[in-house]
Amino acid sequence: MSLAERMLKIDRRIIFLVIGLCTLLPLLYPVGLPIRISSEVRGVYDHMESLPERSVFLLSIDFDPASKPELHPQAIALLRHAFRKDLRVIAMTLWVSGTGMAEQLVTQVAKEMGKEYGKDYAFLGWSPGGQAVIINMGQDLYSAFPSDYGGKPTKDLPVLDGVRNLKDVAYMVSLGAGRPGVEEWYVFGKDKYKFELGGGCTGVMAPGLYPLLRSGQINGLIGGLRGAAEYESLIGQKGKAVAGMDAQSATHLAIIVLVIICNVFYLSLQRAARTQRQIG
Amino acid sequence: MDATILGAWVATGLTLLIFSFLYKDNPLFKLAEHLYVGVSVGYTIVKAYDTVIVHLVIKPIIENGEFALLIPVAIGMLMLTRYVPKAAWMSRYAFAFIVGMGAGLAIPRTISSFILKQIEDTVRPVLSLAGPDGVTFSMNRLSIAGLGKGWHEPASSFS
Repeated sequence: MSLAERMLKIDRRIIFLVIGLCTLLPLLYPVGLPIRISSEVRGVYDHMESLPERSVFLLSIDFDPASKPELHPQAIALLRHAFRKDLRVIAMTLWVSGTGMAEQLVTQVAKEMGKEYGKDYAFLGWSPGGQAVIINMGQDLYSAFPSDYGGKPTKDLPVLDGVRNLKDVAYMVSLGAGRPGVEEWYVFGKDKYKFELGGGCTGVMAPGLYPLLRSGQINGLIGGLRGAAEYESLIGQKGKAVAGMDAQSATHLAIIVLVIICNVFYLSLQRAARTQRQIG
Repeated sequence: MDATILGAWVATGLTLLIFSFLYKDNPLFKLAEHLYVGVSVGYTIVKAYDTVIVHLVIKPIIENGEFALLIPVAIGMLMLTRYVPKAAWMSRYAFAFIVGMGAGLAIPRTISSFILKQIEDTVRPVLSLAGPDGVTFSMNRLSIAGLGKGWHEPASSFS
């Protein structure tokens, strides 16, 4: 058996091991690859920067633990930025399976930034209905969420002073890992109730949202771990996303090298077979 | 050992059990897989019950006397008649209501967001001579700003 044949029949577990090492080693020994800021991520950052103090910022955490590696760092970076700008943060989720994770996330960042629940931020929790919740919030926020995650009546929360519906929100970002997510927030939210909307999504979803971005339907897009790393760089607080970028880049490189090697061996085998046929 | 550290060890252990599938299928992977599915479904059921049944139905009816909520509850209950063959036809009313409401909400908004807005962006460069405001499409109005002309269709508005 030639080298090419042996390589094409390589045990798949060796490839898993290579990918594992490419992930683990950069995490243990970071290289610090440069991160270029894209215009999509800058769109979200610039809009957040332009908001005056105590503006209302709505963050919809529309993902569950399955998408945590990519979207959790985005949420942390956005919340840190919002709290640093002293915005009034209203967090919520349209994904029932992400409720506990979202509450933990918001509480953790708020505590880190020294913010007070009810005065500086609130977590509304989950309400059933997906797009119907968005429409309901556009008409009356208190009807969609009569009480917050802890069961307190939302009408009694000082952070919601002057907020009746989505039209009173200065900026809204949906971090979505599927449906309902960014598209639903545009279709049933911004398009109908006219507020500024930004998005965040997993890496594989980003190409599908570019038509909304190019037409100005959303004013910025944070795509995957790369987007989160860019946002962390912009706010000057490097975290898990920047650390993970080295691992992601090394893994991508390993996959590209494996694809090239595999094609080279495949073509060399084809050529050898053709030569043998000509000789025979 | 506090709960956070214990939780981290449990999460790490379960993650490694899931990754063990990459070597080969094994009972520990099966354990982690079933635990993951069970916990996810269990959490979802408990959360949905607490949020929907307790906080959005029972409490408002008992504490605020919002008896109108019994109407959506009744429509929802009709769906369960599918499990009783003789009464299964009643579930069609519930499905008809949901499909009708869903289509009524989704179709106009989807046309507006994914067709009209995208067309607007597509033709904007072509009609850039129309003026600084460009072109605006909506379900009930098509106008070319800057030329002082507009074509108005008396169709119903979806906005």
